[in-house]
Amino acid sequence: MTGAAGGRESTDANGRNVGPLERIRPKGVVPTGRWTGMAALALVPVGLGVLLRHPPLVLVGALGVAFAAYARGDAAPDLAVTIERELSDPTPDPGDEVTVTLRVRNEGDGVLPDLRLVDGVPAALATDDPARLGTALRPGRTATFSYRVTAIRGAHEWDPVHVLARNPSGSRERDARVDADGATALRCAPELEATASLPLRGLTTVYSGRVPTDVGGAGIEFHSTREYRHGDPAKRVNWARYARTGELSTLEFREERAATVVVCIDAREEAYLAPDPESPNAVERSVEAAAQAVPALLDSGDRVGVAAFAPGDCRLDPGVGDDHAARARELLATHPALAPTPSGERFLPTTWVRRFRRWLPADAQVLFCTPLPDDYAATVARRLDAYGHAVTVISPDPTADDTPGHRLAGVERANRVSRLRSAGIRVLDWGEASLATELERADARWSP
Amino acid sequence: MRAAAAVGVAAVAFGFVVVAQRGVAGLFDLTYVFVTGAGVLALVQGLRYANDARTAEHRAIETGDPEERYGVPVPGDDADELLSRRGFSRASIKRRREFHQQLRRVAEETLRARGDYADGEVSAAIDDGTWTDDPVAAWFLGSDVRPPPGARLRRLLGADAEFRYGVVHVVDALAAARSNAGSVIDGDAEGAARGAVGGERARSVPRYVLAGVRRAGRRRVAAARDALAEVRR
Repeated sequence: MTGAAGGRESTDANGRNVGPLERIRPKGVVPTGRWTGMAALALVPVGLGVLLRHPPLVLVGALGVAFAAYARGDAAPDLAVTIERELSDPTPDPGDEVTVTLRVRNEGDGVLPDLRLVDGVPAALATDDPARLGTALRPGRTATFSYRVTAIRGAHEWDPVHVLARNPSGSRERDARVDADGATALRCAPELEATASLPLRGLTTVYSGRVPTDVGGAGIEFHSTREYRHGDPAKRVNWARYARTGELSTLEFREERAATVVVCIDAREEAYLAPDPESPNAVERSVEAAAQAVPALLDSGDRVGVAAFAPGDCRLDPGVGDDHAARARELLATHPALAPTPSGERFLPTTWVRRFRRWLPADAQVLFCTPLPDDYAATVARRLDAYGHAVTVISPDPTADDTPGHRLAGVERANRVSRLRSAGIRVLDWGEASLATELERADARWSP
Repeated sequence: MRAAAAVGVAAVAFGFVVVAQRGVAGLFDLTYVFVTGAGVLALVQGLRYANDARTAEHRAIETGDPEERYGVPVPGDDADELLSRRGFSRASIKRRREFHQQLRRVAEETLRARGDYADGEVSAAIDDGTWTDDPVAAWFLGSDVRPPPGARLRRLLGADAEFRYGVVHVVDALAAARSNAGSVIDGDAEGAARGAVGGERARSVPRYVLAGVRRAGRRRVAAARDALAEVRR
């Protein structure tokens, strides 16, 4: 793609107020002010030479005139370059290193004596290498540079390349954003890996599954005994009692049924929190939890849906099967509402809750993945639970305790967790241990 | 400025006229005074340009740091920002008052979660400062608690220093209370047992008295530390 003056380049002069002279200069050209005052080099020696009656000084002034003329006459270079970007692997797995290579070619007729390029690395990707190049480029020549990024979940779009070109004197520079040809997106979709079985609450569908209910029937866990009815299977007859009393009775077990579970991820801007710059933020951890919960639930025969408590319409109706698992994987990996960086779109949480309730099946449980960043997240959990959707909260802990403010936020969050638990809502406070470990601990605590 | 520009334009116009009509130059006598005047004018202008260069803003387009990953905040950054304000950017009285109210709400909720007090008693415990062993935290949230010497000393340094001192102590006291409270209300069986023991201890009269004496002793030690706080630094 060619970037030419007056084409796609930015007209932004770094947010400064532009004066009348700046308004009439070509778009994208910024005077650096580096040669301001060059006229002094001409006038001061001339003035001194005249006053002191010293002709050599007047000649020195001529040198200043030459410099001033050079600075004034040197125009900003025409920026006619094409840029091509190449990724070593456009669909890597999380954690893979991807090499990004940029080739810039000078398509113009003039030399670019000072050309600088800064690639628009996606905000969610980090690189230890410099994603920039400074070079001089003759007409028709190509320069190449590369850097590596570490892939993380999501669909990452590169921004246009920021190109700066200065004239030889450095008195003017041209500023442009140039779209690169070739690869501009990296798509990283992690495999859904089932974790330890997810302890669910008692709200179930009529289909058989693995969630123990309070209804007596076929199952594994003892529930009650009742009077024998003709046709009851012999293996369920209580033979011990028959031997003792001579009366026939039938054993009842807790029926195990399937559940409908909607995994809801809090991806509001408020939920993008992390205890330090190196750690994944709470939304990334919530998506990770969902990516482990969804296959675990599907494997056990439950119907699973996905939703994001975030701007944008991110919902997947509850369903089962391999196709549904593939759709869930795609949504969790690449939906913009679940991106590793906040979208910045306006969000009306009250409206969202109203629509979500209308969409939610009546017999659906909710697995709410939220760092509980504010009271509203806790209110949503309590409200959904009150409407009869048994809510389980998985809460990645984004708090730190290195400063008074961080400690206070930790106390506030712990209070929210306590409030939910005292309201009868299960909360898995997910610290630094793996989710599977935390789930095993929680399972032992939650078992009746 | 306009006058200077008019003089400049007139001089240039005169120069062009002289090029066409050489005789006009004879109006001026190239005497010593005239040449010296021209030299002074050149020098003054040169110095003006030099001064402009000294004060001129050198501009360059910022390229940013796209190599760095998008940074998200840590919960509580806003509170730290409020506490770190000093000098001219110090926190407004309104913001400090709101933060004080927020701290009190958090304290009430934490104490309720700890279960040592009935709902009606929480507010009274905070007012009279009996909810914590820390005299600074007790004074900062209490309504009729005498300020400890450390707080009085900081008041001399300014309202912000005093506010910061109180907040840090309150947050530490809340974190300590919270760590005692967590297991009781979080449904952990082992923790609940520990909490039950704690509750029993609080209700047992001799132990309560002993705890009170211990607390008073700790307060004295803490007060002495506060009094020497500046010295310790």
